[in-house]
Amino acid sequence: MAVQAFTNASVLIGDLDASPFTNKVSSQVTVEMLDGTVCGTGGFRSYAPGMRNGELSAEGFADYAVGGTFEKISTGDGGTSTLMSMAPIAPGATLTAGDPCCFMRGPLDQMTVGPDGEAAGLAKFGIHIANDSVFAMGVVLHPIATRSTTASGTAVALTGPTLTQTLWAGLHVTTGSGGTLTVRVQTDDNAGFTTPTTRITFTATTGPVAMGEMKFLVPVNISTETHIRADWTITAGSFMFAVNAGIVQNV
Amino acid sequence: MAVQALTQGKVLFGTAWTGTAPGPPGTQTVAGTITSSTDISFWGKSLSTPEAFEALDASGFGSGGFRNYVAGMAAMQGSITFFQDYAAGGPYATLSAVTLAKTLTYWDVQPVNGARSATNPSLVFAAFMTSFDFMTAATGEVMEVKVGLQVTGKWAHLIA
Repeated sequence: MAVQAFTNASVLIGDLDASPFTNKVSSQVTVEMLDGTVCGTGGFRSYAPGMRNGELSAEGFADYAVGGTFEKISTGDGGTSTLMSMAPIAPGATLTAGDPCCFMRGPLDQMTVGPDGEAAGLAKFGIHIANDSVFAMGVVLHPIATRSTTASGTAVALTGPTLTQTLWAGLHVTTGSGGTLTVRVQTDDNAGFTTPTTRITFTATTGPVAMGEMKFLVPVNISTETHIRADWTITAGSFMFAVNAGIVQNV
Repeated sequence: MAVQALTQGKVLFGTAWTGTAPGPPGTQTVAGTITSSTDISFWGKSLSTPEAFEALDASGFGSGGFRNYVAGMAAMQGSITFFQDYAAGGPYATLSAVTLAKTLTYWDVQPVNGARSATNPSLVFAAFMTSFDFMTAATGEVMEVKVGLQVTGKWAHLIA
């Protein structure tokens, strides 16, 4: 166990790896409470949980160069549904498959991407999204990295989902050219992946995926599956991408 | 008589109760303990458990020119802030899935982590978790997770 300082993190917004520009993050899930107080409750209020909401935001410094915050997130993206992912990285460590993460898709409802800041200060950037999907807390399947050949990722222990749960996965492709990338999420009942089954297939792409992609597996009971991994095919060229997955209770 | 610093506070958490549980219906006499509780005191930084009793304005022609209040319902909205830890047994592993699943949870907080007594009472309550931070911090800060708690039904102070 280790309480840790926030000194490093992976922050991905659509096709932007925002980690080098970010100095503050917030990721919160909330549950609405409905007052269900009736007669005879001894004078105490009672509540029932309602809808769940997710919010993700990141703040930091703007970069107007190619590949920076301004090029990747423009005013025209406002309101567009975008995948955002966050994963903590312990001081001195690197992000690896199996590390915890959260990810969510939703409209970019607050943006600071144009010139913003004080004279002689650093220009700022800021992003906030509200969810139009679930708020998933899960595991990193493929930390952001460049690949140029077809391969499979590291097996990560993750059991399920059951019929009352849904498997969600998110894909960020930040750069890519020269061929086609197809990413899949597979599960198996053993860490060696001797009998893998593809559960989710992302849309094939020939370049960066501007808003990222988040998909889910139609609820099915695969509670005997104990491991999960990313798997990808690259016809030619090279692609920088990241894959996350999480199981969310359907309630 | 002694002012007490919260240096060894206790925070126990669980999803089942042995005995007569706090929570609805609100007319019970609460007793017992959390079943298979998880002690997450180690990560605790602060807690807020304001016990609120609604004061309903009953001022009228007969209140002599003074506002007059009568007691209404009792309700508590609490919060506990932990230092975030993603390892097994820590706040993330213990609380994140329960929040998303909207599970009714039981809590037992105490000034000093030890046996209940008249001078070391437990506040026990049933609550739904209303918020959970996966990762909220600025660079250079210790990561914290603030857990919002909507207490439902009756809570109690137990000394045994």
